[in-house]
Amino acid sequence: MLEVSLVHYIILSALLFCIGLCCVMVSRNLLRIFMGIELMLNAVNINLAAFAYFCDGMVLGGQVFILFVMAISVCEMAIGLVIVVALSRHSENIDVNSQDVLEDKQ
Amino acid sequence: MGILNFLIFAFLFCLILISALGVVAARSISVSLVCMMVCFLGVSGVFFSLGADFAGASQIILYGVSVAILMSFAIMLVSKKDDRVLGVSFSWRSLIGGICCFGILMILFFTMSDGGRGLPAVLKKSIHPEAFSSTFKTASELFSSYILPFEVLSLILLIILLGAAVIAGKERR
Repeated sequence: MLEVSLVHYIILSALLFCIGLCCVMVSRNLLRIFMGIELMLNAVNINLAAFAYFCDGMVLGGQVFILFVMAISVCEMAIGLVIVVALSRHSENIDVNSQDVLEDKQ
Repeated sequence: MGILNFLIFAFLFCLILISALGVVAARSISVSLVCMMVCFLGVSGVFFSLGADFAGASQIILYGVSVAILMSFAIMLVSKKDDRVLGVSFSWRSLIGGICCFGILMILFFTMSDGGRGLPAVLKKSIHPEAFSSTFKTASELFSSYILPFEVLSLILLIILLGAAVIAGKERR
């Protein structure tokens, strides 16, 4: 039993994904929501690395796609943080419940 | 050797999950930033143990350092004194969110066990002992089979750079 197999990494990835999802759904702070998104993307990357290692040791498509996911998620992070900073100029806080400038007020 | 692998994996498992829980549960946003950095470094350790050297190094550089610096600047620019009230509290929102996450976790475990019939054989493969360095192979894959996504990615980076500059610098009247 003391042998690390693929299912251990998948369990780790599933738990990390659900913690990240919980962070996104529960938190009201925009910055913490971004942290949750990053946790979820890291869980996906663990899955890609584990399947690349255990299933196709010679092809390594999974490891290449880790790099793509990383680059895209850093881009998303940069744009998101810029939007948060721009939003904080217009309103007094970054509570997601109080952001209603796009709401249709009749 | 199997025991050592297992101990390293158990250490990384606990480190990643505890620090990820710290991101969710910390009262102060700075504490959760530090927890996030620790979690990213743990994930890079997982990459190293899976033979993905280059991905682990990029994980340290990109996530462990640059995303953390970006995030800390955003915290300094945005945070106010009363942001502590935005932490996790007991409310309908937290309850429903927690129930949804638990349900999705159960669905994932159910799927993993092949609908309750036990683990498929592919999931029981254990680590083959010869560790290999994959940087050379990753690079040759990246510049032969995946050259088009790589170039598209550079275009995306350029667009993101311009877009971030435009959005951030718009406050001029």
